[in-house]
Amino acid sequence: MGNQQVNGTPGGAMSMSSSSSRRGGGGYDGPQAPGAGGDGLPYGASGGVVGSSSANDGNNPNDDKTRRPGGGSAQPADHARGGGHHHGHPIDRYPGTRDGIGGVRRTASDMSMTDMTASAHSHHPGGGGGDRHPQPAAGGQHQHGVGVGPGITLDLATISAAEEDAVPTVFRWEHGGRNVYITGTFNGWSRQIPMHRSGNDFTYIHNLKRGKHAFKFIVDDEWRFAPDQPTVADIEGRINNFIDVTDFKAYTGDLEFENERHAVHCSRAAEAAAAAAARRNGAVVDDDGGRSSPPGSAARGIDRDGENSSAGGSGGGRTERVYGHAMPDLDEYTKEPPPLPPHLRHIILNKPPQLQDTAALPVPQHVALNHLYCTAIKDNMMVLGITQRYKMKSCTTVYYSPC
Amino acid sequence: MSQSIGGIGAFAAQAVGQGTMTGPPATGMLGEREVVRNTGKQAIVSFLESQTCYSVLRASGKVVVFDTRIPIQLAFYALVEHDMQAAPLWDPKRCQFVGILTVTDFIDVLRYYRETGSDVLTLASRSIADILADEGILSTVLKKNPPRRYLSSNDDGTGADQHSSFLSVDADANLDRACHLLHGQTMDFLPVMLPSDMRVLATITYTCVLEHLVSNFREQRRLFDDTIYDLGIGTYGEDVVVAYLHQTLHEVLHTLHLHGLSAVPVIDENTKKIKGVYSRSDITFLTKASDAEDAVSNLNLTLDVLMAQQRTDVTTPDALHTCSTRHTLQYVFEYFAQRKFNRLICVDEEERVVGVVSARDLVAYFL
Repeated sequence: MGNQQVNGTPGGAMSMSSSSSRRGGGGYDGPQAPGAGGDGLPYGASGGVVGSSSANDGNNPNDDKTRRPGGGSAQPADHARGGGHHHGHPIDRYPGTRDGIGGVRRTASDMSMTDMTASAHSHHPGGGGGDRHPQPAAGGQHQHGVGVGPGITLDLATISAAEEDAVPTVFRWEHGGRNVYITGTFNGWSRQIPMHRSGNDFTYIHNLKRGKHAFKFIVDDEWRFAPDQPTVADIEGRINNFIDVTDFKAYTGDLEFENERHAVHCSRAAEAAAAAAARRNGAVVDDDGGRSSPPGSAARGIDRDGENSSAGGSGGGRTERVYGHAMPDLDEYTKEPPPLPPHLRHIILNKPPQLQDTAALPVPQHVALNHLYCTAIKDNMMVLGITQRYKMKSCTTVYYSPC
Repeated sequence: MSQSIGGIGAFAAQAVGQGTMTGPPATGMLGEREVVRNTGKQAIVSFLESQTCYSVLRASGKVVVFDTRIPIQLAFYALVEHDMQAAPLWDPKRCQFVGILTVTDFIDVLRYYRETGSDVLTLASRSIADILADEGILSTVLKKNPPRRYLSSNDDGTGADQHSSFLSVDADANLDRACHLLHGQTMDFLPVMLPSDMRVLATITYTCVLEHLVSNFREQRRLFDDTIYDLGIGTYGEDVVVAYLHQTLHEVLHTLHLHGLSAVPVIDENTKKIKGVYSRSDITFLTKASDAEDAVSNLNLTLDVLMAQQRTDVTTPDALHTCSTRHTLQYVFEYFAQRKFNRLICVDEEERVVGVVSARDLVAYFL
């Protein structure tokens, strides 16, 4: 955002393409009505996020733009698109911003920050002379924008968009073959896409829309499904692989970023939508396994009931991130446990014993060490087995226990 | 005395020839011979001292552990099913190992029941802890040194020192110590433990030690050209305990118990020829019995019937291995490398028993 500001094209900062194209070279041109650029401008949408309302004057687009950044960035892209009005605020309300076309004394972000504050206090957000367009109450969003910070607003918006829409997914086929193609609901089963070969594995990456997708492979002109991936049967009994990316959340590994993204997400959605998202995020706890998000999700679950305000959400999420008190939903009890990893199915105790030496077992895989196996209870007795390592040798202990 | 090059693995016909010197050798040669003998002995001793118990362990081994609360009958069946010789016993109340259960302990209990005329069927429900607490059984039929192997449950668990009564060897201790423990306590099975972890890694026997020895000891010199008879390894002559074909299983087991043996040669009383070897672990066929009562009745079978039976319940039944008194220690080692016997029966030319050399004797020579 910052750099955008410097250019004096706040619109450009936000939604990039749309506004800048409108601008056709920047808002420096006086004649270019802010309105023209305003369509793509988030600021416009927000109606004044901020100072934008006040500064919007065809004559002095600079100021307008400078103000925008902070608040505008907070706006979700769709808002930006949806909006389109703004402007009409006389510049003179903001002394010090009239620097002429190219000059911006302070960085746009700074300007916007101060202006926002100023405007909050001193101006009716939607007001300003010459207000030609209805300004939706931008107060909340305005505040929110402040909280987020202008520096990363751009990225948040992009990522948020991504989270809404397309999930890049890798499809793999690891069962050999010479020519492998893939097709599925993501392309309407319309064409067979060749997969990229790497050794004996074939891969293909596609941006999947959120939801469930079915797909199948064509290996050497034969329709096959991958037995190692989840499958679903259709009405006619044909088996396809399927993948569910409804709840996919990219793991970024940065707690701060996650918090802010969450904050953006919450603020953007309507109350009900946010509640649904929080619910879903709560449910994601099971799927995420060891990721950093689950504790945060639990916190969101709490937020669901009351404070959906972004400020509350982001603040609360940050502190309650690690553990929460939310009771799991009833439907979480009916969920299947995670599937057993296949390498644990090779139980060395179940292999037939060697003839000469009955106390010898096959050498176990290291991944199977320290896992406790047990038999079904029979005659009030249960047999447990565990393989442990001592230096370079393994020892399996079989324990007969009453129960 | 000529020294030919060759390690334990090399077999030489000369060995037998040298062993036939029965008369007292000339003084000079005696001295030399002693030296060689001692050198050989010392070589093995230092080898044992350099090896740890860890090296005897299998790359991936199995240990069966029983909770003392489980019924002893089930423990017996489980042991036979795993085809293991011994299993450590774990007491969950005291959180420590309290002893070792072997297959023969069960049969000893059966014998006790038979001798005292108690109802054997009650045995099915008694747990191992029960049996261990039964003073009557402990003093009569279990091995001669029961307190060594079992912690009496009258002891209160007053702390960590109770644990030390469970005889075991640390995995990092050397083999020499393990052998001394085995020998000193006249035990057959020594658990190898990780005390910090309370884990039994394996139970080792004399046979294990010998196996390790023959596969890992490499020496160029021929060190063991004396006969086992000369070296005094084994039991000979009058001390040899034998069993006869007409004896019942009950009598044989009693004999074994009396002398603290693990097996006896079986002789045809008419021809005095050796017919086989009966060892304690051979009683595993009793698992085929439908219940304890049936098992006890098997004690009345005579040996000739038993030995005629096909042994399908164990993978490697104890076979009869013989040698002559004139065989050298070298030969015995080589034979062991091939056959892995538990004991050798020394026979003369007419297949009559003259002595028994067990794995225990072999190892004891080097202690």
